[in-house]
Amino acid sequence: MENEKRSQSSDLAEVYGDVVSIKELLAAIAICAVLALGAYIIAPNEEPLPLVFGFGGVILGFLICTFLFKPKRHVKDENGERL
Amino acid sequence: MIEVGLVIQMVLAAIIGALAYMVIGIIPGADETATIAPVTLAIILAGVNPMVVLSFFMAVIVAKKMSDAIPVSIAGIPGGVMSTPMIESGKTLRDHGRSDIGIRKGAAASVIGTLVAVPISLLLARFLAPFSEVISQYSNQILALGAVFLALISNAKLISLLSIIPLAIIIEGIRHLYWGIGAIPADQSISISFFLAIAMGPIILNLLELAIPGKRQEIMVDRYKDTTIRTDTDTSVQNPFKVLTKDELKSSTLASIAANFTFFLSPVGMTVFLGETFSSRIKGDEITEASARISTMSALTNACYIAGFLIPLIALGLPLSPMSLGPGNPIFNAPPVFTLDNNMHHTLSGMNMLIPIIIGAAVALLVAYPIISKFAPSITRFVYKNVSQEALLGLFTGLVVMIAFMEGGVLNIIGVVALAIFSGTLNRWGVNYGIQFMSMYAAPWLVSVLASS
Repeated sequence: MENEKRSQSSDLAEVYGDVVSIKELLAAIAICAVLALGAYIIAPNEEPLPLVFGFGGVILGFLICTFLFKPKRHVKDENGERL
Repeated sequence: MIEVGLVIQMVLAAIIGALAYMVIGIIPGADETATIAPVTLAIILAGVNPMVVLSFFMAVIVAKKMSDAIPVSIAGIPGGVMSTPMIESGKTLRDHGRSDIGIRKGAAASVIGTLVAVPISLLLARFLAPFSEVISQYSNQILALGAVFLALISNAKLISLLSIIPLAIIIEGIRHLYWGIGAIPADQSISISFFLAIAMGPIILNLLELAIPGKRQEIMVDRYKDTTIRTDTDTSVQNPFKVLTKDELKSSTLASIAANFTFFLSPVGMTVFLGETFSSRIKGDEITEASARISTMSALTNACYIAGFLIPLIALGLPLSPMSLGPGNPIFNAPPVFTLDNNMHHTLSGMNMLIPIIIGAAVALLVAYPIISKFAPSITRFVYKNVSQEALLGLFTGLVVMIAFMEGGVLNIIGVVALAIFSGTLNRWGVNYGIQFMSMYAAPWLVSVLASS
């Protein structure tokens, strides 16, 4: 977990106002999309279950990604101390 | 008589909505339309009772607009679009080591904005209600003219005017393609996923730019983002009416009253315009002026959102304001549950409309105000340290993919990307959401008129 990643092979990019790792971003999109669609498709065919399952899949994907991929921000307080 | 069980559900939904969106409001760049509309939509389509949805939605907008002042005061970074007008005064306070003023006064002023806007919107809606029949008879024409009107008052008038019909043609083009090849039955249409395509257009465009070699080099960076957040703030919970000075209380109240009469205009535009107008009368040192500006604007973000949602909902039943076209869209149109001629406006009336609105707003104030006053710095630190942009973008795209698939299968996932490229580009050129959503609603009529002429 080293924060000073400045090697040539950096895959960091600024997307929608914040820094992301492109590889991790692609993985996050794949995880959320697959879980959402997967849950939607395997749900019992009875309204509104497919949508509820799909929604659950997206949230699960979000939680997994929050756990797997850490923010690319250095957060400091007013004295320059890392938080 | 409303059952006790239903009231409990409304209160719970409001608590969940207020807590969740108070936190989402702090996330950098969490656009209101992109974060509020899809979730509201999912809840409506999942079959939740409309009164519970309404209570949830009111709590969401009140709480999210209350946290608008937090990220600008603590980190100097805007949360949603509505917090951008406060960046400058937030920064001034932050540089003087007084982030607490921004958070505390911002939250107190939001309470004022909410308390003023709810009753006045209800009154104004009553006054406008007699016109609703005429308005619904000419809804197509009004939506088309609405697009033209919003284009004329926007910052990018010409390109906005020029894009109304092309956007309508693209949207109808994709629908007719689906009907033509039998991707969807003739009696069904695609609307939710097109709405999401437009709402997420800028994000999807941004993601696709990673696939353009030259562009990718431009947005590549070699280091993490440095963010300094101020933690040296006072965290006691105080009476919101005593937090503001007399002058601030007056300018917040007057500005919030005025915001009701401009419900059909851009809420962010009005926050800037009314905010500057009413707060500029308060003179003093830098801190006094910044504090007046951030209080007035924070009251306005709540008032503009509440008026922009409640007045069209209660009086008209058509989303004739940028707010109801954006974050509030699913409340007006979420087929098969709600359509433009059969939504909450038509199915809820009297107390059934009033009670969820009041529960939602009151619960949000009671939940969010003390938490924000006490924990804003800790919540901000938690969000900045733990919620990654990757996870958020994954969440948004996952939602879009699933809903696109639900409405029109795999073909529609591609259709949504195609529309998102078009509309995201328009957005970048200055054609705002309001204009694009009005064009989307007017599209069937516009295209049929063009075809028969």
